[in-house]
Amino acid sequence: MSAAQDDWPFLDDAWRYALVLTGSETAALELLRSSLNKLARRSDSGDSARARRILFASLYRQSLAKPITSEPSTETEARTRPLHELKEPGRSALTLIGMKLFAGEELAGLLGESLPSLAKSLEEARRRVTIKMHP
Amino acid sequence: MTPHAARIFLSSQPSDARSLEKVIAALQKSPELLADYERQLQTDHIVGETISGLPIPPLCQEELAGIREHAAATKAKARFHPLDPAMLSVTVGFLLLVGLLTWHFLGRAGVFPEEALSIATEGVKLRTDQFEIVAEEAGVLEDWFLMKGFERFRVPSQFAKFQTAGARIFKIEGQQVGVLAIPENFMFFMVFDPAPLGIEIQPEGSWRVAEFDYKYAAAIREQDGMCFMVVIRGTKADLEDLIAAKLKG
Repeated sequence: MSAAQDDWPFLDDAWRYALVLTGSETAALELLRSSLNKLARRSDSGDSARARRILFASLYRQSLAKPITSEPSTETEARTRPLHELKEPGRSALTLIGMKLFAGEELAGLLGESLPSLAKSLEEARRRVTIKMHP
Repeated sequence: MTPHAARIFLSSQPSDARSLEKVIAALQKSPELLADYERQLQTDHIVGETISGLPIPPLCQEELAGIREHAAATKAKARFHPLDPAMLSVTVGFLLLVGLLTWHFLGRAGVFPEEALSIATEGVKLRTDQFEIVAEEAGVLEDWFLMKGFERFRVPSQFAKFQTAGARIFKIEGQQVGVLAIPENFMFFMVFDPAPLGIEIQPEGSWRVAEFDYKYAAAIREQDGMCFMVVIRGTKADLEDLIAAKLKG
């Protein structure tokens, strides 16, 4: 494994999260590229855990600033559609909790929500995604 | 904690394991809410499995590899950017340290040693009756001092012809100082080992001159591991003239 891979062990997960946010493989790559460039320009990204937190926060904020909604054109995109169609912040909260990347407190900080508010969003997202996955 | 409060708490998957145990214990009081929590875990698990199992298309994988390399390279550049505030702070701090050390050592090089001034100050306080009468030239008193237990008493050849009126040894900080009273110019010659006193005068043979107590001047040099100091009642200029004359002569 190269030093570069050591630097970004969470990159695949970041792309998958970006895919949930955009619903498109290409758009996910664009979003990830943009967020990584922002991260690389920062001098305070610190260790891997901090860099990961900054990267995922950047993906979330960018997707909020420019929401992208795509119709699935591949099987991979179709599989993320139930999650992609959820509302924020429940969509990101549920995705990131499911991926076990962040615990509740850290996730609340990342998404800019209080814990009770995050809990409420998560409940709603879980309810909706269950219906979509098992109609 | 009530089972309902526990259920709300567990919605966001907090990380505190100790709290988690207590909360789950509270939740177990309500089978309905416990079942709801288990459904939550199942949903989260399915979401996690769905996302983690997403294959990354080969084209994306190539692109991600490129991004890794590019981001790591850019990050490395940013880490060592000279205009980075942290790097600037380190650079300024380093330059200040270098400047301070340079100032300290260069300044020290031309400074009359403070410890030697203490010796000179003590030496000029000696009264005439505290000296043994020695009517010899300064340059021939090495044996006289040796007999008194003071080794390596040396007077530079330029000062060897001065007529001595008295000689003695006194101690300062436990170190012996050989002193000659020279009637000409109301001078004292003092000889001592500089090392135990932390005195070092480099380069060897060079003179340091200073005034002290408003009416005295002292000049010191180090040669072969011993310091020779001339103290006169007069000014720094007077002493510099005397030394220059002796060096010419």
